[in-house]
Amino acid sequence: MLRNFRVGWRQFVADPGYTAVIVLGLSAAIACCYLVAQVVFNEVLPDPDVPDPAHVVNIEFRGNIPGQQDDWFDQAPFVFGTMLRQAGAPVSAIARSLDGQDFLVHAGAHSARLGIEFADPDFVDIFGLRTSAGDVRAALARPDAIALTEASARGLFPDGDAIGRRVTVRGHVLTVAALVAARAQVGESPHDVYVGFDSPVCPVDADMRSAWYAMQGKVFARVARGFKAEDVGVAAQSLFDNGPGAKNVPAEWSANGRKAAFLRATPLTRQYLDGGRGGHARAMQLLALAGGAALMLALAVVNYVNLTSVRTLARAREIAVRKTLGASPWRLTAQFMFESALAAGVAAAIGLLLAWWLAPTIGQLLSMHLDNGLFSPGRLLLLAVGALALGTCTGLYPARIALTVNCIGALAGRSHDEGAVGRGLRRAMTALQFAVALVIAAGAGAMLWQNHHVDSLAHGIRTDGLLSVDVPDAYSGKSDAVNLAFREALSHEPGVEAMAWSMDVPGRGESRLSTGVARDSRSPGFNASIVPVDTRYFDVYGIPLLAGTLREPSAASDAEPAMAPAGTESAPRPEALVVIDVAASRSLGFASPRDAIDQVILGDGDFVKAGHDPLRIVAVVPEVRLEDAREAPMPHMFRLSRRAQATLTLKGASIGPLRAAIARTWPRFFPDDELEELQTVEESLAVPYRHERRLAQMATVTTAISLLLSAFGVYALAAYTVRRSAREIVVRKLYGAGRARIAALVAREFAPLLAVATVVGLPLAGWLAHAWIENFTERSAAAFWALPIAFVALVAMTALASARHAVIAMNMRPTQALRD
Amino acid sequence: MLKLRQLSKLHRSGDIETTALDRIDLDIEAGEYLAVTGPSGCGKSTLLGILGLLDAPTAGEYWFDGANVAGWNEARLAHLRRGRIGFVFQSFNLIDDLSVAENIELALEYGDVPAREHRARVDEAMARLGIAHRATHRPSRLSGGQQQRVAIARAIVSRPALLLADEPTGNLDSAHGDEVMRILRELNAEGTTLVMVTHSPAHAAQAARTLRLLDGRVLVDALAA
Repeated sequence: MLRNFRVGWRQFVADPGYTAVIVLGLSAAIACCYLVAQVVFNEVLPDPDVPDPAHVVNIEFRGNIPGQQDDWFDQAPFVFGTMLRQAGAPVSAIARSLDGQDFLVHAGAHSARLGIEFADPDFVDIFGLRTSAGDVRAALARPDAIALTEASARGLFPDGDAIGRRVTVRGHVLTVAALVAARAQVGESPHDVYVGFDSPVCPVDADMRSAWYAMQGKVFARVARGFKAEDVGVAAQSLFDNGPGAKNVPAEWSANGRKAAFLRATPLTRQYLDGGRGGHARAMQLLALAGGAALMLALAVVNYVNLTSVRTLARAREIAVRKTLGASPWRLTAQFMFESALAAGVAAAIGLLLAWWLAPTIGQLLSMHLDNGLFSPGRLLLLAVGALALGTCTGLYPARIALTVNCIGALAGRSHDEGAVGRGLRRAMTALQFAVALVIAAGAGAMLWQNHHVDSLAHGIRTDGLLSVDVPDAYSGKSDAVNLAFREALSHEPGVEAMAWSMDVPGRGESRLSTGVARDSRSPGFNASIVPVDTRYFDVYGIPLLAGTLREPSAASDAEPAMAPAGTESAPRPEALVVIDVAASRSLGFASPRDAIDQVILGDGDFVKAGHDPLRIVAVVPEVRLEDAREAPMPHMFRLSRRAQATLTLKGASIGPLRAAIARTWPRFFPDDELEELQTVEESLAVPYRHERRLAQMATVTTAISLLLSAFGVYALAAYTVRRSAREIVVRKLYGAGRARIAALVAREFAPLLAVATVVGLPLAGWLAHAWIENFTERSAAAFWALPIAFVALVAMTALASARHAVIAMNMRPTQALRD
Repeated sequence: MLKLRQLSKLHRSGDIETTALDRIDLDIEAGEYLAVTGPSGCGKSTLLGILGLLDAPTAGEYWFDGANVAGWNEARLAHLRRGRIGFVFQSFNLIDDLSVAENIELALEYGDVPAREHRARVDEAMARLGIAHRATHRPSRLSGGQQQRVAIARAIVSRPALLLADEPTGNLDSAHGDEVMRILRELNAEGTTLVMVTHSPAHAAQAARTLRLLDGRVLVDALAA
């Protein structure tokens, strides 16, 4: 083995250019594959510290409102966390969970922004949280207690034991009652602090916790022994179907046995790929990532085999010498497999470093922790075994060539030919490379084209010069006065020209409401989007009024009715003021926008109660499109309100002063709440497409790498073609062939391969592009131009990569070639 | 030691069939010094390849040390070649990536000589051929005569019973050529069976027996006068 290593190493060093090409190509592909494996280990597979994750389920919810196509939510109303076990569901533990809240935690002179997980005591057993001090379950049961992770405890109390000490969160004093041990897998807990739902710090009030259609967090359960996840789903569905959630809905929601909503219990082991809120998209993303990595690996391997085969042919004499000295077929095969394994091993080491370097950037792009566990022993072993297998397999073809070397001819100095079969195999591999590069390039092009089309969609609103900020506690109403004071203070800041409240940034899609609307109780209804806004909204977003005028709603009409106890109907709502768009006006049957002014139409109230909710139309605006490009457009209504909403949008001549204004003002009103990264409205409109953008970016990088690898393959094939055809070339020259005819000889090698690749690759690329674009309702007709453009790029790459050897062939000296 | 009976070798390329050897009968005893001569294309190198178990005959028998190896596969032939047959070529066929010592040791790598003995054997062969001072050099830094001496050292390091030389002086000047011929005579005198293909009548005359081929057949098989 040492001798084989020596021989292999010398081959590496003897031709650094060849070595660099094959090793870098392989290492790039290995890095991609390793990062995909990281996605699987870190994101797809459940936390290994969770006991028996196949029997831990997340209750998921999907609305079934007529006329709407809702997707599964990975959340469920908190009411299931309290009522599911009472209803006899087969669960041995059940816990509500609310995360994603960052608060400032004060401990004397020390403070830190920590991520708080609000959870029920059963959360400890379900997720296998290990206690290193105190009692975490007890801490979650007490409203005045808090459990810290060991790391956050060290940060807040560097001088000693944290148990029994006091911290302040959002003005409330809590006692540290327990410490949570670090998780083994990644060395850090996903959260820093655990607090119970009864804590005064919890932003979800009692009303929201008992609502049947409000989703603010998750409900986890451990399936009881002897039962399956599906059994829990059935129990949840039954609880809903027999509860007020299904009873107090409009008649058409439950007509003919229609279910008002669906519930299911998804095991943690399937959560990532099958779970709600993007499970399908994540599965597609993982499939795309894995497919891209596999394609790149295939390209790199084909490249390696091509280049190594050419090199093996050049080593025919050495191989013949070894054979004469008694090297058996097995020894020769082993030598070449070892050399390939060495190349793969070096490539794997470089690929690992490349993955380490790229992990933070790509992780940020994908919103994943790709650098966690990158160097864990198990994964490194997997990488080593994979590299060994790769090297062993890729060494087989060069070994085959070596075994067919004719000793007598090679020793006499005659060049060895790999034969028709070998040539055919090489051409097939090159054609495959071309086809893969074509598919990737065309696919990336179609993605980019479609993304561009989506970016340039007209929404009917102003998008430039606007900056939005989300305020705390908007849904609970706890901080209404503070939020309004915050807005008032901002209005005096330099650079702020105007501001408006709204439930969400238009088009961001993070919060949405819809309501059934009808002209009157006899008319058929339809679904419309309804957004609570203030009267400045239309000015800030540049939405002109086609008819009517805006006016402030009365205090009575603006009041939120008290949430009715579960099982009872809410009180009728007072008349509210709305602005509708032209699409809603048409759907309501008004002949013109002017005809709609001052008309009272009927909404169906809040999402708990089915009823009649009078809405007076005060103005009509042009059609707006606030849905993302994947959804069909809806009619829009804007419910006027004087109350603070979740999002405040600022308008100014430039964004910089707006950012500064918020940064200055925020700490005065929300000292305990972290100011999240501010986004302009343009950036917010891109949020629904971040998944597609990531894929398009990765596809673009993959395209560049695949074209580069294909270029290497072409380069090697051109070198082989010229070497093999040297005599033919000079004989043609002797008989008068010009440079163009000689160059055509080289081109002749690639033209059929490009043709085959086009026949195979373009239909596949077209199908992939079509599958991608079909996800959108707004589709770019021009996106299919990416296919011919990709073909042209491939042809250009081939011409460039083969140019050097074409020039060599054109400049070949006949006497030298004939002598050799 | 070696017996060929009605041995033929045909080369096929598409529809073209060429007879390289045509029903050769040949006996070579142990310790013999046989020179093979003939015009270009008469089958000399083909005969040498078959004798060296590098190529298989198309028809006939080839008895190597009492075993008919005519139908053996490559693995068995390689095993038989190890340590028993040494080769010396016109173009030396040294491996440029290896040093002189490593080139010589390559002949022991595939054989049964224990690894602990390799160094001593290599040193012995280098000393015998007068190239020990070039042990760490690459072949490309040696003269033609020195390269051929390295090739001979590689051929004899495993102490083979049979040495096959294909135009060993073809790429050398007369002085170096004579030197190589002297070494080969010495080896034969020590008992190594030597079969040498040559175009040189003078070098062929140094052999104890001459075989002259023409069109794949034995024209003359005569002992030296």
